[in-house]
Amino acid sequence: MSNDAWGAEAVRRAARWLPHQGPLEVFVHHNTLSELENRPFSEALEEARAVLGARVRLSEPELRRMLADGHIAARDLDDVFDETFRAPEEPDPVGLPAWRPLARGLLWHGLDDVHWRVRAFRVAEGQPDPVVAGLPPDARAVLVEGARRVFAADLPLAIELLTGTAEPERQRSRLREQHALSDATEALATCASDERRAAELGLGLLTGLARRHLPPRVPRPPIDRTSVVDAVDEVLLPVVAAVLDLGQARVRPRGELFDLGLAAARRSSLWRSMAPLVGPDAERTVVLALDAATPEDREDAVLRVLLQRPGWAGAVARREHDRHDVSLLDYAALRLALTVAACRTEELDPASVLARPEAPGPGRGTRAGRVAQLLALHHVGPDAALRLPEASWAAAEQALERYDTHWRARILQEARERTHRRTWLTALSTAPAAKVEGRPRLDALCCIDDREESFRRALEEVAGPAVRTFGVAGHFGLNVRFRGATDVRPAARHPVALRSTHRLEERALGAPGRLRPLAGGLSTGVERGGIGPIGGWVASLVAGWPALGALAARVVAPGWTDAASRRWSARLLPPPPSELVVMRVDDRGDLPLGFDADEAAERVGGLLHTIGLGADAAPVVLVLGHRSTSRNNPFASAYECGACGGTPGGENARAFARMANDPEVRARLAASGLELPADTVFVGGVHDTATDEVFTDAPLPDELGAWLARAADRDADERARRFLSEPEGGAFDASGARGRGADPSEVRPEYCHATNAVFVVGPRTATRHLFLDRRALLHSYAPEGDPDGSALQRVLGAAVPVCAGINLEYWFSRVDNGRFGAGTKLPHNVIGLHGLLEGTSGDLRTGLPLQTVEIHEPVRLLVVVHAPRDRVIGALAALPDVERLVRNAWVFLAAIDADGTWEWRDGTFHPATLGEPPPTTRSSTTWFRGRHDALGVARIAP
Amino acid sequence: MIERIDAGLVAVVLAAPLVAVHALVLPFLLELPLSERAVGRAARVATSVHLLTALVLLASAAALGPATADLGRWYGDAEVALELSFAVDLASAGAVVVVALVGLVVLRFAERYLHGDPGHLRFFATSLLALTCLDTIALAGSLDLLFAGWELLGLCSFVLMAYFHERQATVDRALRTILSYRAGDLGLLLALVLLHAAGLHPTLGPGGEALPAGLAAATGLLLLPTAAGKSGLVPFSAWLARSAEGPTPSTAMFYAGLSVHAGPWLLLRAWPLYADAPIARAGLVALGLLSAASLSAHAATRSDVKGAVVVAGGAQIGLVIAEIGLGWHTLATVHLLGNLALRVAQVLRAPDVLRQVARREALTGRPRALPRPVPALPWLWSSEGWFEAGPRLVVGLLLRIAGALDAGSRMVESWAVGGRDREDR
Repeated sequence: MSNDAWGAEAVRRAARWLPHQGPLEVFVHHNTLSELENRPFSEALEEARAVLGARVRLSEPELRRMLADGHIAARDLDDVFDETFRAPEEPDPVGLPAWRPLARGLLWHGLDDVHWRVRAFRVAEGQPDPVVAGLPPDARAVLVEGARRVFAADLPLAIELLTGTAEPERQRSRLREQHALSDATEALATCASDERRAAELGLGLLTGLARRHLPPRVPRPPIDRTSVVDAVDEVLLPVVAAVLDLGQARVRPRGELFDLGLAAARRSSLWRSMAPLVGPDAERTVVLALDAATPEDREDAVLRVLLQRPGWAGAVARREHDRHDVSLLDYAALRLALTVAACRTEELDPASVLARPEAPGPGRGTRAGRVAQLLALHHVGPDAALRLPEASWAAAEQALERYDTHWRARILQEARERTHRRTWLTALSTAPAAKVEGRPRLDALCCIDDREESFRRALEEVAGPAVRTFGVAGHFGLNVRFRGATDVRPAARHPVALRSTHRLEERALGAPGRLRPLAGGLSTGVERGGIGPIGGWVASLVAGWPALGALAARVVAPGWTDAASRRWSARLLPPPPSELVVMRVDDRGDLPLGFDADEAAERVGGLLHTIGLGADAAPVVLVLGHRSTSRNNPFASAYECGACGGTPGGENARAFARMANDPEVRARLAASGLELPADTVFVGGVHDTATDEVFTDAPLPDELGAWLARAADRDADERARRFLSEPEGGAFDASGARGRGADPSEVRPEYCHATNAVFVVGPRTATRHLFLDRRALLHSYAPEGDPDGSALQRVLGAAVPVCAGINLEYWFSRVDNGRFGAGTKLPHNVIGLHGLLEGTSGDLRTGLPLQTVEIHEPVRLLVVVHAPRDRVIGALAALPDVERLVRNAWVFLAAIDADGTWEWRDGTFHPATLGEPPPTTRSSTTWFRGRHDALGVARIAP
Repeated sequence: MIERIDAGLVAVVLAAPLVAVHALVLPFLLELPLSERAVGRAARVATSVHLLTALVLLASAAALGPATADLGRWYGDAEVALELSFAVDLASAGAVVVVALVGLVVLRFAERYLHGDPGHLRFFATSLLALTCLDTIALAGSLDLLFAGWELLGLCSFVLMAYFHERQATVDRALRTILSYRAGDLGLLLALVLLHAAGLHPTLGPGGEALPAGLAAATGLLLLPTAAGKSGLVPFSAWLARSAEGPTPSTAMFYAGLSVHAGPWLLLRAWPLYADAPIARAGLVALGLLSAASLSAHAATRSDVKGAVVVAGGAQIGLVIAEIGLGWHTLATVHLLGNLALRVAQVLRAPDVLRQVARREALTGRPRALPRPVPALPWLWSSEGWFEAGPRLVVGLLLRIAGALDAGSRMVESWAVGGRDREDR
């Protein structure tokens, strides 16, 4: 290995911290920090915060509001504190409470960081100082007494402490400015007479004392990197965008990224400084650019330069991984050389520009204010503080640093999750309703998606015991590569972690509408040809006003226009009549086309066996995938079925139904012990979650169709309540909720997985009677039919990584939308057909946009399994990925069996502490009527 | 009588958005609560009244012929004055209808699009003000009045482009844009100075008389940089590709739509003034063709949807200006209006490009076209714009001066204020 190879190695290691998102057309929810999954959750978050400088959990004020609202139970906060607090090695400070009560007091109260000018303004206006007003009454009493004593004992000292100076002129002006007092005598009088002002003066005395005793700290001047980063972007990013382009631009430059980058740099003003740093290849360039740095700094410099624009670097890394036609090393070398050159041009030190960004530390005044608050909280008044030894002041500051806002937020967050888990486990442990005897009229197999939870509940409430619903991962066990009749390329229709095993095709039986190629050609001519001079000339003369008119119609009357456009599309541009080829056709190609009877029986049987559907199946079994239609939404793939790999879910459902109806498959199923009733018919279909429409492959009996329609109405109603634009109280605009997908100006077509919290594996009887507020992903599982636990293993192995990915993607995009998420959708600009830019400059945005995560409450996924504990332990042992997630607390695991409810902690199951049973309500509609916020779990008892 | 009706209509057309702006801004200044719903309703009412009155104005112009509407005097005395005189004819009334229509559609779009965004009020107030400016430009009876609307429109554009003002790059780009506008506007200002110095106060609209030969050529040539600055033509096109910084509706309404098409409108309106000067007409054709070539090449290299649409729109505006110079005014008008509508629609549905590409593949059965490889140097040259090197240096220099002035003023401020209490409290 040559001396230069450390560059490639450093780039490879730095790539861990880059986003792993692929092109936008296939959006896969995944853990944003997936590279850290082998570390415990809290540790991983702290490291991410240190390296990336991002927020990794909700902020302390948000969590404190939850504490005030009762969403965090007091006992949970105490419990988490007791479990996690470790006293430091230093001895307890003298004159102050011990470390433990110091920490606990800070945790419970927090610190108010109000700027001193704001406080002075309020005081000058005659209003109470917000920081003092926020202290508990006993703390204020201590301040009052202490202030009075100090003022009485030594007035000049008190004034000197208050104002921080000994000069009489300055003292008077500061007294006036900050405390609204004209001189020392007035100060004394106010302190003696006015309790509130005395408390404020007391806090002022403490602050003055703290300022005296705290060691000065030289604040590091903040380094403004933006000019350097922007200068590098101007040169480099157009070239990178051109190389990564998947079909937007009409022309692209020939050559490798490294050569193109150098060509672009030569034309810029940075070339003079950059020329000596450039070598014959990328590796040599990295070495030359970082020539002046020490070995430890070098690796960090490579990481920092990639983290200047993590989205772009991540896109290059991902493209290198997928197609091998770019190199992250080239990108890093170019970026490094350009950055060093830009630093030299702007006369900045490259080492400081490439160092880890540090937030400027607080000034002495702020630090003193915080120490003063700490002392006041712990009943150390100004008189006692006068007698504190030096070491105690340093200890107080140490306490503030150790138990800072990140520590407090962490404890609050863990307490919140504990309260959340207890509420949910209690609700899920309530006794189910009695099982209904008799054969149902309809069985519905829906996806495990949390959006389907409300649809299933609505269907069950509408039809009563005549309907049973089951939850299955939306690909229905078929790992297929599917190609529709009008598709130009096949696409995988299964979770991305699995491999395709078969191909599925939709064969065209006739010709498509003759106008289709013409319409496509016209559209291409206008959109793509319109970019060129002649095409643009023709397009503007001919197609301008029709295009704007059509768009205006959609904006002003979206529902009507959508219906009309669908009708005309069906009439003028019909797709070719096609049939779905499911059973085996041939074995040519890398994957067999279609399933043969044995394979089909294996899949159908396995799935039905897992969910416990067999001899008691209804005459109609509806197999329902789901998809989402929206316009003007670059994140469309994120709204589709995640189990189908970010694609619409209908085809797998139809294929499954086809297979289950096949007589040979039925015969094999019967032979293996699964005797489906002879009159049972499987019908495939798809539920559009944005418009709440249900399409089925074959017409259903009228009554069943009516049930589905009414269930869809109720689902729309329930969905509508979370949209901010709905009027408060009263009825929700359900039709408006359904029309959001058709409106091109709607940035919130639906809220997708924004309410995900829990993944329940078990029979529907365990959850049928509960209102789960669309927060639960539900997978059906029949424990009695699975003695060896193999079915449970399949379910957990396939579904837990998908659900955890969804949960963690939402977590990170919510807690720091600017860093891990995609920001607001408003300026989004699709670039290269693979990524998003905010406006025309800056970083490529990855993750979810603000409008998708704004109502999300980040809590880690709680996986609840209704099965005997040892079966769950056995499944975990066989699934290393899931076990790693559980062991490192990225997801929580619980089991509910005949012996009660158990929580997984420290490698084994412990009995769970349950709380109050959930409230009861008559129906879903009664529970959510008029409410826009997140509702808790309720028990439905009509 | 006609004049009075027209004056009334013109007043309503101008006032409708303005009243709405006041209705939105006054509660904000008085710290009264104003819900998003109220803002949306105000915008809806204003744009509807605006469009209806514009249609009536167009009907009156069509039926009763061209007229001048006088709304009084803005300032001045007998010697020097700025009269608020508006020229109502088919072309200008038609332009107002187009402005009102595009304004209505885009603001309806923006009502939903910007729901929940903290800058909601700012967006609507500025957009409505910009509509009044565009009306002024469309209906102006004199170059002076047009200049007033022109400048204010530039300011509104700047405010909307810098909507996400927390990002330094966005603000920089917006500054570059307004500096380009101001640099170009020097042309119109000089033309006005020359004309007034010669004692001429030419009117715009169909009744305009030609100017004496030298003055005509000078006016025509001086109007070119103004139109080029506003429309993002050579040599000011650096800002055009980077203009899509604000929310999608503002990009659509201004940089794909109304604001960039104000350049050719100015040249069309002022046509009688310089029509007899062949050198001015040749200048138009040259500017138009050069811009079309440079911007088309640039548009072909752009990887982002909004940038490609906006730059391609600019290339077509170059062709429109060449058509104006060649005297083909009907073609130019149709071309102008068509380009306006097309680019507004394309930008508004720019986020939909992934679905559109997939749909086209499904309709035609052919996979999407990949970018064609070309040699690197021409690509690099085109991606910056062919004639941009010089102007970028100038604008960069102006920005540096502005930055130095800013830093200097901050130093003075901290010296004056911070002398007493430097210590951080």
